[in-house]
Amino acid sequence: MSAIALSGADFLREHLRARLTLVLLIVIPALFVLASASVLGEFASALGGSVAGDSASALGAGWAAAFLAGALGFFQISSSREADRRLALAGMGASRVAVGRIFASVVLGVLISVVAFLALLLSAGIAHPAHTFVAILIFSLTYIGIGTLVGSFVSGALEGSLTVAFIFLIDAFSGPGMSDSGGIAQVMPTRKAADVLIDAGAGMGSPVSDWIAVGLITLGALALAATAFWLSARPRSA
Amino acid sequence: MNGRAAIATRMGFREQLRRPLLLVLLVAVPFLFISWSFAITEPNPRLITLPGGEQILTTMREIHGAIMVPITVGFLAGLIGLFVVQSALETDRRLVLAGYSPGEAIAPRLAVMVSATLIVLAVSFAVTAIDYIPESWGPFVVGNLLAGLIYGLIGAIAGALVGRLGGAYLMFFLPMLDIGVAQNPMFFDGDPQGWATLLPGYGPTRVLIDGAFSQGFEATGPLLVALLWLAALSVAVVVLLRRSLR
Repeated sequence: MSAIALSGADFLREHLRARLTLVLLIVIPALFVLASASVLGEFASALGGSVAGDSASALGAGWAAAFLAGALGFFQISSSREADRRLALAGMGASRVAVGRIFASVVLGVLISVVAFLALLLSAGIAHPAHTFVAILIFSLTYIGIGTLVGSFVSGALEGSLTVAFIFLIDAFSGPGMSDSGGIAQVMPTRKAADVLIDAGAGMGSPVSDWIAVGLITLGALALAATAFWLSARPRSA
Repeated sequence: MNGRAAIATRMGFREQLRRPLLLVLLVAVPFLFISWSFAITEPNPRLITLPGGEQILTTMREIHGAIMVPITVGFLAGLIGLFVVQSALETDRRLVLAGYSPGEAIAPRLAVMVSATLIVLAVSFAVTAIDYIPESWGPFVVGNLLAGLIYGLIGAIAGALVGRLGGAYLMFFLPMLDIGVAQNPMFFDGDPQGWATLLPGYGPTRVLIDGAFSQGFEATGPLLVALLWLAALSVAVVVLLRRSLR
C-alpha cells in the first residue's frame, strides 16, 4: 500500500514539477469561471436553453474542470507510456503503476475542482456548496476517464487534444440547460452531473436517482482510466 | 527558400500527411462546430455596434455563425502551432547541429503551421457559406486569417515557453476566453471595451465582424492593431525558437 502511495506521490510530483504548469492549472479554471459567469446565461438563452443566473455560472465551473481534466487525463497516459512499462518491468507491476497513476490523476482532479469551486464562490456565490463541489468533481473525474481513454487509442498530442476537445464541446453544447439537442444529449457523459450542478446552482437538491447515476458514471470513468493505465503499463511479450 | 530548407519543408509536410486522424479532425472539427452552432442557435434579435460606431439589428444565430469561425480557427491554429513547433524542437536542434541555420530549421515548421491554418480556414469558410453569407467576404476572410495566424504563433510561443502540457492548458482556454467571450458580440453590447481591447483577438474580431455585417470597411484601426500583434508575435516566435535551437 505504501509503495502505491509513494508511486502516486511521485507521479504527482512529476506532473507538478514545472511550476508554470501548476500555476496554469490553478489560474486557467479560475479565469474561465470568472469570465464566463456573467455570459453563460445569455449564451444558454441564445441556444434555446433554460439555464440562467447562478445555475449557468455553476455549469461554467463544471465545464472548466472537465476540459482541463480531459487534457490532464490524455497527457497522463500519452506521455508516461514508456516510463510506466519500464516501471512495471522493473518490479512494480502494471497494477501498482495503474493505481499510482489513478491516485495522481484523482488528486489533480480534486485540485482543479477546488480551484473552479472557489472561483465560482467568489464570482457568483453558491447556494448549495456541498452538492456544487461534488458535481464539479464529478465533471472532473469523468473527463479524466475520457482523456485517459482517448490517450490509450490516440498517440499524437495534437490529434489527442483535438479528440478530447471534440468530445467536450459536443457534450457541453448538447447538455441540459443548453441546446439539449435530442437523442445525442441523452447519452453524453456529463449529462447527469450537469443536472445535479444546475440544481445545486439554483439551491435545490437532486433526486437520489441522479446521484446514483453520477456515482456509477464516475466509477465507470475511473475504472476505464485504471484499465487504460494498466494496459499501457503491461509488459509486452516478445 | 534554399535547397535545405525546401527539403525540411517537404519532410515536414510528409510527416503531417502520415497522420490521417489529424487531417480528418482538421476537417471534421470546423465542420461540426460551425454548422452545429448555427443550427442550434435561436434567431433572437440582437443590436450590435460595428467598428465606426454604426449600430445594426441582427440575430444571435447570425452572430454565432460568424463568430464560431474565428473561435474554431483560433483554437485549432493555437493547438497546431503548439504541437507542430514543440514536437519538432528536438529534431530541429539536431538539424542545427548538422549545419542548418536556425532560420532554415524554423521556416519549415512555420510553413506547416500556416498551411494547416489555411486548411482549417478553407473548411470553415465552406461550412459557414452553407448557412450564412457575410456582407463583405474580404474583411471577413482577412479577420479570420489574422485570428488563425495570431493564435498559431501564440501556440508556438506557449510550446516553447511552458512545454506541451502547460501549452495545451493555455491553448484550450485562451481563444475561448478571448474570442469566445471577451470579443463576442453575443455578449455585452457587442463593442468590446477596456481590457478586452488589449487581447490578441480584438483586432481580428472587429475586422471580421465589420465584414460579416457591413458592406463598407470601417475597421482600419483594429486591422492595424491586428497587424501589430502579428508582427510582434512573429518576432517573438523567431527570437524564442532561435534561442531554443542553439
